Parts: sequence; C-alpha cells; structure tokens
Amino acid sequence: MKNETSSIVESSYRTFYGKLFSALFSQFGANYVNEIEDAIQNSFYKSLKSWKPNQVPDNKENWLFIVARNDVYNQIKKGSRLNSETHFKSSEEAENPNEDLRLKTILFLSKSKNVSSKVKVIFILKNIFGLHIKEISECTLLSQDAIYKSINRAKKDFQQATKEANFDLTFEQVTENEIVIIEEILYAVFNIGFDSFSEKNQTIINEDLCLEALALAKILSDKFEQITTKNLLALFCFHLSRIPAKIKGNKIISFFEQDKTNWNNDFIKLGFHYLEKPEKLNKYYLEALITSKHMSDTKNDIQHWDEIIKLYHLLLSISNSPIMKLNLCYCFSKAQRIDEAKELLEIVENELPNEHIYLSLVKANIFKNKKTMESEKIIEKVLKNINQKIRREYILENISTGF
Amino acid sequence: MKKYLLLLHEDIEKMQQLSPKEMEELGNSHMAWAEKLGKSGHLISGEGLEENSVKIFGKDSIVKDGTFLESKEMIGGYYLLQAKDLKTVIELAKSCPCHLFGGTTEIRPIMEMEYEE
Repeated sequence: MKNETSSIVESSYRTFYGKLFSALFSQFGANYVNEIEDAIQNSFYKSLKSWKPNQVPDNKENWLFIVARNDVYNQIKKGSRLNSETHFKSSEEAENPNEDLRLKTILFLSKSKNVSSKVKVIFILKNIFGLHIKEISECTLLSQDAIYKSINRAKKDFQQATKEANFDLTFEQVTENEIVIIEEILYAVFNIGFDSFSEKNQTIINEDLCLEALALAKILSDKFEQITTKNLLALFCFHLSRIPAKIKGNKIISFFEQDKTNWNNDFIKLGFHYLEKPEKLNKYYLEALITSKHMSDTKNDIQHWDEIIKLYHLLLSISNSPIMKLNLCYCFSKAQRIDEAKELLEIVENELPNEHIYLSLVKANIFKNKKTMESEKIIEKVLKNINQKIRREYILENISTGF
Repeated sequence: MKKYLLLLHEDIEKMQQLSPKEMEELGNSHMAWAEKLGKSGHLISGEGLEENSVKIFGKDSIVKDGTFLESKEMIGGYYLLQAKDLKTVIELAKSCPCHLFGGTTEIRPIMEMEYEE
C-alpha cells in the first residue's frame, strides 16, 4: 500500500509544483515569487507541447525543473533585474532537485512573524500543494478575490521578512516549537482536503491533498522523530481509512452509518502503529484516540459516549477549539446529559460567528426532543445557507436520525 | 488515403489559467489521443508550437515580431493525419483534447494533384 500511495503522489503535477516551487524558491528567493510561479506554469505548458507517447523524459521532475529554472533566469534578464549585486545560489547546488525541499520551505515560511496563519496556509496550499486559486476557493469557501489578495499580501510580507533574515532553507536549529507550527499547517491542509467542497466534481474529499499532507508528515516524522508527529500520522491514517465509505451514490454517509467493511484496513493498522502514547498529552493523540474509539466501538451506548466525553475534557484542557467544544456538546446530548450540553453550547455560541453551520446543527439536535419548533427553525436557516446540493441532501436525510 | 492538417487554436488566456492538475489531465489526454490515432494508423505526425513567431511582410521582406496579435487565440500545435475522407477526420478531431479547455480545431485538407493519365 505504501508504494501505491507514493506512486500516486509522485506522478502528479501538483506534487511537482510544490517541489519545483521549493527548489526555485531556495535558489532565487522571495523576491522572485511571481517569476517562479510563471516559470512553473510555463514549464508545465511546455511539457504539454513537447512530450509525446514514447518520448516522455525519464525524469519528468528534472526536465520540468531545468525548463522552469531557465525560464526564471530569462524573465529576470528581460526585466533587467539581474544586477551584479544579485547572487543566486550556484546552479550546481540546485541542479538536481533530488532533495525534497517542500518541508524546509514550509518551515521557512511558517517562521515568518509578519504573516497571519490563515494567509500562510493559503500561500502554502497554492505553492507547496500546487492548488489553483479556484481549487482553494472550492475547498475553503473563501472567494477567489480574497485568496488573490491574501497571496499577494503574503508575497510582499515574505519579501520583507527575508530582507532582514538570513535566507536559507535548512533543517538546522529547528526548535520543537517550529515543528509544532509545521504540524499545525499539515493538520490544516489535511482537514481542508478531508472536508473539501468541490461542487464540480461532486466530491467532498480532496484525497490527493490528504495523501500529500500524510506524505509530508511522514518525512517530518522520519526527520525529527517527534511523538506528536507520529500521533498526527495516526490521526491522518484513521481518517483516510474511512474515505472509501464516506460517499456512496453521490451521498455523504455519516460516520455511524458507514459500511465498516469498506474501511481501508491497511490505514487502520498503520494508524494504530503510529498511535503511541506520549509522555505529555497532545491534541493529535487525543483526537486520534477518540477517532479510534469511535471506529472500534460497536454498541454506541451511553457508556461509550461517557468515555468519549472524558477524552474530550482532556482534549479541551490543552486546546481551546470551539469546534472541539461543539463535538463535546454533541457527545453530551448523545449521553443524555442535556443540561451540560446546553451550558457548554451557550459558551460556544459566543465564540463562533452567528449562523455557524455546525453550531446550528448541534443546537438543533440538542433541542430536538423538547422544542421541535425551534429545532426546525434552526434547520431551515442552515439549509438556506448551504449552497452545496450534496450537503443539503445529507442534512435533510439525517435530521430525523440525529445526524 | 488523404492527408489532413489539424490545426489547434488555443485560447491563450484559458491555458494560462489552468491548474497543475488540469495541465496534467490535458497532457495525458493528448498523449492518449495521439497514441490511439497512431495505433489506428491515422496519425502521421504532430508537434506543439512555441508561442513566439516572426512574420515577414511583402517583397521588401520586412521582418516583424508576430507573437502577440490582437487575437487571444493562437495556433498552439498541429497534427498531420490521414484518413479515407473528411468525414472520418471530422469525427476524429471532435475528440481532440484541444477542445477540453476552450480550444478550437481546424481541419485543412492537404491539396492533392489530380493528375491522371
């Protein structure tokens, strides 16, 4: 399975995009991001024109890299921006992009203090994960315009940041804190992929993106051997294992309704392999543990929910995520602890924007038994705000069963 | 068998906007299409064309850079095909991947001398 995964990942242009970007970025620096982006696009275009059946280069990545690198040089020369003071790393150093520089680039970008996390993630989705603006828009529900603006901001800020700092992509002197940031970014990318919104493809999962996040997390884990990264890998594996069962006949199947025989056992095994108990609790471990408990539970009774609630309490003692609080609200309601659910719900309502979809759904579920009218009203509002057909159908079908 | 030149007019703006994934799809489609036509004996040759062009005008042979014409379309490549008649080529060209992202194909039959004793 491992080989299968890596072959899917390696052959994709999206992966090439991230690798080429990182290699060129390390060579030319943050001042030439626009040129680098154009050059990669051009190299893809040229491959389209010149590769023929039986005449495809053995090393596609290297071919694309050389074409793109020359393109950047040409663009710089054309713009007369190449002056005697400009020093690029010798081409020998970057001649062969054998080393995967994507993680180093993510690390470098994540260190910058001028750029907000959201903007960093968008920039990384585009340039390291090779997503197009319209794809980012589809999977984040942000407007294309807003994404353009974010990316342009990021370019300027990174430029500014590299003026003052030594520009070097390196794994040396990486602090634990910086690994935490990379993990956060991979976690965000994975979640975006796992809950993607492509109306066009009738899909709600961007599997490539999830696998790519997994691949990078694996490299990170091999390099630094942090237990948190292992726990993150465990979480990824448990989620990935359910992808084959998540959609059936263009419909989303909720976790508890899924046909477990369709779950990918290799990923589940791999998940347990990585689920190592850390000395100090971390959120990935707890999330992975919760997921594994849900996946292995067969009874779905109050006792099960009480156990899950305990884990969520632990999780919330180290992470203040309102989404996790909502999950806990839902667990309370499943464990018939309605008063506790309502109490927590009130707190979460102040932390999330009005008409937050997930919030509304949990709320509707909690009030379902007592205030049917109120519950219906909330659902009606939610449906109005969801413009994706597959999700609307899902909610409509599941309101009666408690999602 | 008659010969036909299939010209691929590409929408430059659209091509520049393709995502890496779409680029890959388009490349693979062209490859598969050419391979299919090669096997069926319809493909003689085919090449992609660079974007830059030079035009030479009139009897004074004035050389001009013809890269960016007013049109946003340009000929991005060609296929030289052979088939028994135009109808067959039209059917083949309909499935040319050039159409996938807003491109147009144009069929130009190669002129043959009708010289029979």
